[in-house]
Amino acid sequence: MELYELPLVEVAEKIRTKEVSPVEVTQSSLARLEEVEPALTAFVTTTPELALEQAKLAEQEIGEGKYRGPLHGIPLGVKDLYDTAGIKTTSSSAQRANHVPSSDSASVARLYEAGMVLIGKTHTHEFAYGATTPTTGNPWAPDHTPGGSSGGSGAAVGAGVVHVALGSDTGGSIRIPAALCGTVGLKPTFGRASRVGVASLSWSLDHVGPLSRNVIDAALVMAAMSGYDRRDPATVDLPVPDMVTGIDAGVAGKKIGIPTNYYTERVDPEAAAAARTAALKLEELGAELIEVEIPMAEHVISTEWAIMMPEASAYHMDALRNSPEKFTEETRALLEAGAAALATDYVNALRLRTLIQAGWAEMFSAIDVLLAPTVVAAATLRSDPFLRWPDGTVEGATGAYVRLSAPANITGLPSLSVPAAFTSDGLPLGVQVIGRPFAEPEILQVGYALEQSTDVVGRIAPVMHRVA
Amino acid sequence: MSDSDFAATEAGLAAVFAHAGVDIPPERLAENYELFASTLALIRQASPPGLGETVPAVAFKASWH
Repeated sequence: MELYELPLVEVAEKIRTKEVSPVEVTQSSLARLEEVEPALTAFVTTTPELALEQAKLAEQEIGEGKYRGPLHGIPLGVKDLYDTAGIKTTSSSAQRANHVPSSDSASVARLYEAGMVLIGKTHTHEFAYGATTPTTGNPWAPDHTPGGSSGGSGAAVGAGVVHVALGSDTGGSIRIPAALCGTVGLKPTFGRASRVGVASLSWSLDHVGPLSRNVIDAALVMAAMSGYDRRDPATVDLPVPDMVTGIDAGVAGKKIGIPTNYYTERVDPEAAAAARTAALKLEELGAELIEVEIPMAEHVISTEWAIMMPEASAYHMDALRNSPEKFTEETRALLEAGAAALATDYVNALRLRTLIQAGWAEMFSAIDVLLAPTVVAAATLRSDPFLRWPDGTVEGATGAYVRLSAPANITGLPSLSVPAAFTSDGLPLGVQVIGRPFAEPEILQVGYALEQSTDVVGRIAPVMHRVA
Repeated sequence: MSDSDFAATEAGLAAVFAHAGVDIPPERLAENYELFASTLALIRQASPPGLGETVPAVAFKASWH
């Protein structure tokens, strides 16, 4: 078995006990990258020299007794939206083709501090404005979308190149690729982690977090990324909890909300079945299932887009006015549409957001977490990014995938996507566990319990076998 | 006009884009009219009547600390 195939915690233990060197771990990751990257194009930029340099430093530090913890010497992928000092950061856009930041984003700085090793920068749907990442293939079937916008991160983790890659989530962009690529994805509570140095799509909806192979990896990385940052006025000055200790506490007595609307509408039968199966597993483990109605469901999608689009257009206004031809046609048209929205419509969407947040707080008075499908269906073909429903309607993949993830962006609640099943075609599906504000440890406990009760979490896509 | 039957006209859009300082030639506007109009109609749905005294959700907690 190759080192990249071992779970992160096992690799970390081997590094801690000096059974293996971070250099060997990095070499294994780079070898896997070389093997699968031609089929996937998960990375915009790879950084093998830097990775080996960082790994050698980690090896030296550990040799000197300066072990930093379980992320020390572990390879990392970083979405190309995150600034990395001295390394090209393009947001997968010609607008920033030659952009080389002078400093690291807050998350990358924190993970370097924890000793992680940068393998490269992963592709995003241009500026995170879409959920299909057209540049990149799905590791389980490269002619299918990896989802997005953090599609490169999903592909890199799903293919086993890295155990962890960073994503950002404005309408589901961590959880969607996690679900479609068979990885774990954690969108934390709004304000839990700093977005400084990460290109924005929508300031009031953006979140940063990890995609990872196993649930405990997400706990380790999220804890390392979290914390107050005065430069990001959204961050909250709360102590960062230990997200790992007690992760195996189980779900006995936990009240699991099961939606009777919204998450049940226009959902592929296999995706719905995966969520039902996960709920029944939790019940078998001692949880109580409680049916709940999602409040103000009819306003979720319009609120998400009415907030996101004007904010995105405001962020990109200079480029939209001065060099619109450098955007892809899809992004340009969305930015133009957002520029035409009325300020009063934007403000009223924020007022609806107040009501939606209040409705969800009330709903959570009866439950501990909500369990729902992460995506409406498995990955579409890259050449045909649409979903076709039995009533004859055809829905664009981005709009369809965002439907089930947007509520956690509007409410700011933490949401963890965990692989739940594979379709009859061999494509992954996920379920999401949504918690109360700052209840990341609780949703990680539920996700961990699901992981322990199935064999679909932690798998590595063969990639080359499917290509052949 | 209720929120449900809002539809931007091509001429109206041209005026808004001109006001926004976003240069969209007439042929581009015609080509993308359906996308622009349907997107703005979706956005308008988040502006329903009856919001009353509801205040906007303000995500940021600005602090000097």
